[in-house]
Amino acid sequence: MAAADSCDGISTSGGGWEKTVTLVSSDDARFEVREAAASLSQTVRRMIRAGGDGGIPLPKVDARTLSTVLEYCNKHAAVPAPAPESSSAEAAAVDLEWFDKELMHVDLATLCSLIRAADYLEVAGLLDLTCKTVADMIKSKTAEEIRQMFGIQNDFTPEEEEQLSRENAGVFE
Amino acid sequence: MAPPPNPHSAPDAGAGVLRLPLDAMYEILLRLPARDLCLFRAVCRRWRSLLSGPHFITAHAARHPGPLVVTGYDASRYHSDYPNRGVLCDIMDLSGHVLKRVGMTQEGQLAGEWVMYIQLDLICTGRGFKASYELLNSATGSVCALPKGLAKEHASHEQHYYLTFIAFRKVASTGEYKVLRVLDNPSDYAPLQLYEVFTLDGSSNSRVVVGGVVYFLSYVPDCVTSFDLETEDWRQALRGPLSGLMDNNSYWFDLSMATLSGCLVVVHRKCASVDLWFLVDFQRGLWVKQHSIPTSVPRAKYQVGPLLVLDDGRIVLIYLGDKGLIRTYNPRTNTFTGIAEMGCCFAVGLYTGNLLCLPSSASK
Repeated sequence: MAAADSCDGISTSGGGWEKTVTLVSSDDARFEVREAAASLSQTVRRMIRAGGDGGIPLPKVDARTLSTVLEYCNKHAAVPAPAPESSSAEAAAVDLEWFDKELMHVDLATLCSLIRAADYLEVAGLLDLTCKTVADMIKSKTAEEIRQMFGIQNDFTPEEEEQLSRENAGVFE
Repeated sequence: MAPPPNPHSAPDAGAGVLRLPLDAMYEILLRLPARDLCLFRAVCRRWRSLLSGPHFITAHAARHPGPLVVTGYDASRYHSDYPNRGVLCDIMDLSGHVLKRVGMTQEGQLAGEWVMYIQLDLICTGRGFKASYELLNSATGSVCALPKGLAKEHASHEQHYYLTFIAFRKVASTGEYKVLRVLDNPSDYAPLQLYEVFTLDGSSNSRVVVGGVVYFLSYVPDCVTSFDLETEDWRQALRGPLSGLMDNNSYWFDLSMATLSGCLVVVHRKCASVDLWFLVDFQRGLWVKQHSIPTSVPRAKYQVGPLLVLDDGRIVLIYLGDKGLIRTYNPRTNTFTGIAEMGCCFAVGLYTGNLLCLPSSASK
């Protein structure tokens, strides 16, 4: 079985035996993670299937970013799926919401690293969370504020700028 | 003294400057409302081409599917009831946020311009003292004029009739729009309607058009007249629920039509309620009063009608008058929730076009 090669160990968690995998960051830090959590990343899931030994290399993600990504994955993979509408389901959802909110209390540069990592690792939930967080930050900003935020040069000619402001004249501020 | 900032310094040197590849930026921008995105086209060329590209526009529409409402005004009036002079239409979501405004055309600024009817993305506007009518496709910004005056056969009636409504249907084979124009002579003795059908190669839709057939109330008692725009033939009139509805306190104009959840609906405005009669069985002509919505607004001041039924069963109601309103009505709890107050509003319709494609003022 190919998958067995990349499974470095077996650990106990919540009373049951669980498979783990080892992920290796760009700066060679090794993270042992439950396979269920790591599989929230479609990229990792494909690599587990493909097999290989010595851990799964993730050359585009540094240790600091990867640890945050894994914090997210561990939390979200741990949530069982109770019957919807039950009070425990609601409590779990509220708990998760708080967890997500806390996780997003980081500076902009970290947020950007997380977006790049979530995009590369294909962790859909984290990509959505981080993008939403940035989207909320840039909502209602002016074009100039956006340029400053993202270090973008204004490359329009004055004529084009005039044309653009005419086009936007009807947009409600 | 600090040295001047070096424009060629490393990309991450600027404090608070975010560096993201365009595909990550794409993901973020997808999550923003259209009104921000329209402004963000002015950030730089790359953003403009990203935000104007069909790929992004389609993906954005798929992510923001909520129903949007178009409200139409008299853009030339200046009065406290017309708070937004120069605005022809607003496009808003169901939380009442205006996402986009459409201003008067240049011709409209000279002559005055107002919205007569809205159906889907197609807006019929009237212009000037002698009212020439235009169709504005709010999804593309294209405008085309309706023929002035009546058809040759009707020319002698010119003085006595006024435009009541027009209905449109796109002919699938040619992409042209077929138009049914209905003109009224609301004489007390012999009320009459004239009908004209013509084809436009531009754009547009009003009144109730279901599957290419226009349904409307005419002066023929107790029936819903229907006309097939595809074949240009009259269809057999539907027996309406009308005669049973009319009593001594009723007026002809208390009845109107709508489509809700794919059903033909006759809307009956009464003193204290608005009754919605659904045509539940087309073959047998079976009309059922499915809702009786209480209303306390004065009949003379407001025209009240349903716009759509939401997935959770709530009904979006529109109130046209000097102080236009959009509210939702929850039939289960018999409660209302206000969505928007528009000032003097002439027409309300659903918007199905894409906001990112919509120009803020129409152009020829």
